[in-house]
Amino acid sequence: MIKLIGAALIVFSGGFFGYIKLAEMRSHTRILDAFALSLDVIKNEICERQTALPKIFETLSTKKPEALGDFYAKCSEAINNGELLHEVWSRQVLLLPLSENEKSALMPLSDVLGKFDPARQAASLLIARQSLEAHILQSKEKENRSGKNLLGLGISMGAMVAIILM
Amino acid sequence: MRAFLRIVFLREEGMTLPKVIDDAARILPDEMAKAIYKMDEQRLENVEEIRLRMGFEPTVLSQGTEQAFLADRRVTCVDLDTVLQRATMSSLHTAQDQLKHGFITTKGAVRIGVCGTVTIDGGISGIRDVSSLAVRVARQVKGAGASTVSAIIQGRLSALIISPPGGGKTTFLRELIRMTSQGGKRVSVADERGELAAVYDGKPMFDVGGSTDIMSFCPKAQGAMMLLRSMNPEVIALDEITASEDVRAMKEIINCGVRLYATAHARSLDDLKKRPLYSEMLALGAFDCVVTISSQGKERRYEVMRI
Repeated sequence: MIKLIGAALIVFSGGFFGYIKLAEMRSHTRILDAFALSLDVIKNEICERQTALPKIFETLSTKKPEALGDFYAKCSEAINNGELLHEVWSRQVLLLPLSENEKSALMPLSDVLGKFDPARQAASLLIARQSLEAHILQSKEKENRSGKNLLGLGISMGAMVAIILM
Repeated sequence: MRAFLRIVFLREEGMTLPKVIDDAARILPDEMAKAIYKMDEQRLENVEEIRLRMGFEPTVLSQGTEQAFLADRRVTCVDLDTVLQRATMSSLHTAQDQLKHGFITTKGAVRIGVCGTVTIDGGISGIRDVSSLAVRVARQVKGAGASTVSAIIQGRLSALIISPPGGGKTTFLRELIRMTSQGGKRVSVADERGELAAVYDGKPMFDVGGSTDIMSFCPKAQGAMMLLRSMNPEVIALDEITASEDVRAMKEIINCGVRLYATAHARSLDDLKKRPLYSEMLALGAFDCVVTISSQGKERRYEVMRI
């Protein structure tokens, strides 16, 4: 009986490992999604209301997921303390839990945001958003393709270990 | 945190600065800010402007003379960009309307004159390829012309303040507004260039009194009309009357029984009368008195003439 329970636990932990990997992928996609939406907010605030960037960032700092909120909170704080946007943005983008390609979609904004007229900023935000959307699609495809495989693999590995130990 | 450390670091090497200079130095590139912080107190007291021209040494304008304050250091386009970015909190798009008029007002009432290539789209749409900046260190002199201010308020007079450029008209008008407002009168200010109250983020950077309503960066004549209709003012203040629309707006204002405070560039009443626009303005009978400001060294004299 104890052996059976042990085997079930091993299979379960294998499955759980697969589930964690799948959740990580989903969280990654959520961050990308949230960033894409935040770029829309920035564009609208700049074009429609001519809001200052620290204020926009302050509003976005309350949004989830945490990585996005933290990013904008730190940007807002640094600009309020006299730092220039391009320094802060580049530094904070590098700290984001994103791939190098995804970060490079956000990086060019450091040279445009807050420096030019609203139309030019809007154009750059749109390009960054489109680039992020491509990454979101890739991320979702990867999630669909690899996610279930990882879950299955986790359970199989767990089952295999359980059989060997039995 | 990094920026905070930057400011602390710069200050450690310098000395206690008058707040107005501090506000101006904060927006400069670090190297220039350090040089400002190192200046002796007496020199700092007299700084009127910090001037940055691309390819030349940065200078300070003090008592009418310009002097370089950082030898062997040429101003670059990165320096000019840094000043504009710091002045607008990395949000140059918020200053587009001001840029059309050739300046930016920052938190702390620092006014930056901007020169470069003007872009035209119907009218002036902005300035690109910035070539020089004049960072104006604005000062509020509480108590300036105190006896004259008091005489105008007690006599319930409409006053026109005249002096040559840089003669202290705006400083005196600001003081007149502050004292009138503190006396409980509702004062409305059409602050076209943001110099009188320097409103930033909805808050006046200069003390213009608690009963003062300010319409910023709006053409004076239109701003005055909006204030007249919406704020029920007892006094309306306008800085630098320069156009016939301003005079037409003044006519409306006095017809509504509202007192006027205004300024104009002129050396004397006779000088004023020679100019068609101002003689038309005087003919309206809008003013009870003219205040002439003249300078003798650092001292300013205020002379009131009933008209």
